[in-house]
Amino acid sequence: MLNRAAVDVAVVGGGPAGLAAAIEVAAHGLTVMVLDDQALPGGHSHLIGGRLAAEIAAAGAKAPGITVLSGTSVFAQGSDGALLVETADGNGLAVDAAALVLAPGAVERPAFLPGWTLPGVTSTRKIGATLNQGLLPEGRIVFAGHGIPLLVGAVSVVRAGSRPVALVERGQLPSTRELPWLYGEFTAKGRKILRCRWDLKRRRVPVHRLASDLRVEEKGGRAGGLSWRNADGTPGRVEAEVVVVHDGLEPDLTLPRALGVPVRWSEKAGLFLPETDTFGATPVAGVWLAGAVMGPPGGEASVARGRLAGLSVAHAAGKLSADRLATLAAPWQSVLAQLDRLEARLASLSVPAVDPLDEVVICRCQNVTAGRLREAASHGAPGPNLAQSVTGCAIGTCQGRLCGTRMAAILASAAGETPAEVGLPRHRQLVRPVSLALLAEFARYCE
Amino acid sequence: MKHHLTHGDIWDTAIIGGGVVGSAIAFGLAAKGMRVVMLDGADDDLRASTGAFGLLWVQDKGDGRPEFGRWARYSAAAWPAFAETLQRAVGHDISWRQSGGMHICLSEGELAARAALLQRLAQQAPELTFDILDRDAVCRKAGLKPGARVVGASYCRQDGMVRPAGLLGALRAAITERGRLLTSVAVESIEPAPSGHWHLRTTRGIVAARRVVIAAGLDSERLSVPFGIAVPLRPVRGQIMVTEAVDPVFSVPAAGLMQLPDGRFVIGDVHEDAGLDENETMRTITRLSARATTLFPRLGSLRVIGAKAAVRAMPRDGMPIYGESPSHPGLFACSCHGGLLLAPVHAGPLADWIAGDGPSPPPSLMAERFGAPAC
Repeated sequence: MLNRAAVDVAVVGGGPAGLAAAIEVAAHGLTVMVLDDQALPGGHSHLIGGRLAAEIAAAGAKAPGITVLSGTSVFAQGSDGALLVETADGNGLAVDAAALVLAPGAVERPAFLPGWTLPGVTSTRKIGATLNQGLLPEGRIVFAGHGIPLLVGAVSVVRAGSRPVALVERGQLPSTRELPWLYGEFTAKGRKILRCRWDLKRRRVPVHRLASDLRVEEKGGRAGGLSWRNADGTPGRVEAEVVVVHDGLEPDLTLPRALGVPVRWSEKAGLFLPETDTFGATPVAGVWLAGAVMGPPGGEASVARGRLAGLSVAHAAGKLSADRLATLAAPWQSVLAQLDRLEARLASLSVPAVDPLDEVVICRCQNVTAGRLREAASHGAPGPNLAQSVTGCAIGTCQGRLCGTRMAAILASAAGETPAEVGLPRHRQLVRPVSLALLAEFARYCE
Repeated sequence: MKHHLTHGDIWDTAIIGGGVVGSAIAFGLAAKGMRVVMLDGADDDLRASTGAFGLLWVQDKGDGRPEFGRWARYSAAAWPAFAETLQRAVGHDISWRQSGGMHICLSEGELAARAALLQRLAQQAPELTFDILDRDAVCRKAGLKPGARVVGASYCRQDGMVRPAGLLGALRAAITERGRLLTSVAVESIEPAPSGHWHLRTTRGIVAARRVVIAAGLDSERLSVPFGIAVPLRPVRGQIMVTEAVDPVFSVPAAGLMQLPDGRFVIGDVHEDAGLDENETMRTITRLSARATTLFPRLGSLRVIGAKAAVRAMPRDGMPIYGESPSHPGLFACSCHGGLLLAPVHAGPLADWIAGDGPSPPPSLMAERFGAPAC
């Protein structure tokens, strides 16, 4: 069955950014519908911003003019500009809105270690979800990779009463050595990081910084442990049944690109980022972005970005004068500036990812290895579209969300170019898997 | 690394265009011992070959056009040996199968027209095995229960299927090994050089060759017309959808619907007048979905993972266009729709003709049928 809805503003994504944007536009008298794919709104922020998201969720649900639809999947945009949606009950919904705020968030990037596709290897988000349900995974747990979520994940396990066997960092997450400037920043986030470090130290979790040559070891067809090389050159090894990997978050650009939002390679972030102004307005009329889809930082910064996008939408709809916009925006811009400064300092500690070995699977959906990509490049497919065509990389279930950036980096290395020159494969109109039956129901609507 | 090409090399043949037509010709010429260089365009150029569905169909070729029918059937019959040659050369999986093929009909009228078509074809091609299937037979061949509107299908045992990306990858790998494949090259112009060979002015310097083959899809006309070869092509957009992988059940491919060896279903196939717009449209995606579920309702539960459009090159009368410049021998143009089926004949007899030791293709497939091109 096909339903229709018409609102002033449609928000895609019910995490902190989406909810913040919805609350802001509703406060200025606009009707808004939030389309979220999870069972409950709030997004992925469990520790950092978790409490915040829950408050927003509670407030948002009660506020008039805001409808939150959970369990929905926005799979495309119709030629009339409506969002085409699959709702939780399996029916179709076409949402007509004058303004779209896209807050699809970021996906957790795979760590691309040899062995990362073995059973037993998981992500910090999945571990977080397990712990949130009050469960602990069975077996010894090791954390490996790069990024604050590793630290947060390890601490979550400690606070749940267990003890990870090690935290192996490819880079160097801030520790008590960075105390002066972390504390000096005086942000909740900076202090949280320090508390996490202290918790790990107290519980005597071994932390190995600046590790290299990380590899998931196999035992009986599953993950059996992790091996690496320490900063001083000595080999390291632990046995573990659960290997939690994380190597950063990547903006989910599939829907923005399908709607025509241009993206650019950012050397600083090591990511493809969408083009927006400071309020999240994109070059595409009527389309704003908010939250982690704009790049790091996420968490609390997403709330600020959501608010700013909401203000910009309200202003564009004539509900706010330019002066009032500037006044209301100021506090959020200052929060964002503070978090951006912290992010820049954290980024200075980061270590660029190494090119994966040939044996490492890059496209999990289609089982394409780094070696296969390099082979395709050497056989005359140096660009993403042809490489995709010939190897099948990035055309599987995830449609390149997990592997697109890494594919660009590998092709760039192989051709002696930069990822900026290589780019991403051409965007696609269908952004989420959707059943043939539901698509068939939309046939008359799309005529 | 994009370095400029050396001036000294004179290749036996330069092939402009790295799609399935250019690659097959280059493969065939290299197999004959010629030194070939294939010039391929930029990564985001229009590439008709990426829009190929993957069917190697003979049951609908050549109605009223006997020479084309024979050409297509010759190629189809040469596929098994061609597949084996490629397998031995590069070892890539191209998933070729002579599976038979069905054209499913949704009305008695359509089925009757199909039967009449097969009758006419049977006259020309006694070696083919045809059948008209009723609903039950369609069900048995498909492995799925057909929808209520399905009345039957035409079936030909000699139809087949291949994985287009696999074929393209295999050909390009072979050419990289036996010849030279240059990418991100735009050919600005072709000039006859004093000692009877050719200079191709490209964005990466000058390429010199004794023979030139223009197999550049929609860009062919620009390069061929100055040398008197008419290559009237119009852009036609195709759209294809791919589903999640499920257990293999669909044993015989149908027009616009087949299941790959890895279990994914591929749904297509349209010919749209959209100029050079290579974007998918929800209009077509939803329409193709409705057709698929009309044919086999059980497919409704399959999730479509992605959809892709590609702008392809359609000759004015639908048949391949092969030509040699009347004023400048040694310069050729080759273009077609359905280059997948014709890959073996392009690597074989057509390459022989280009090399100068084989007859030209049948007259009705030659560019001269369009007269002199309007310059």
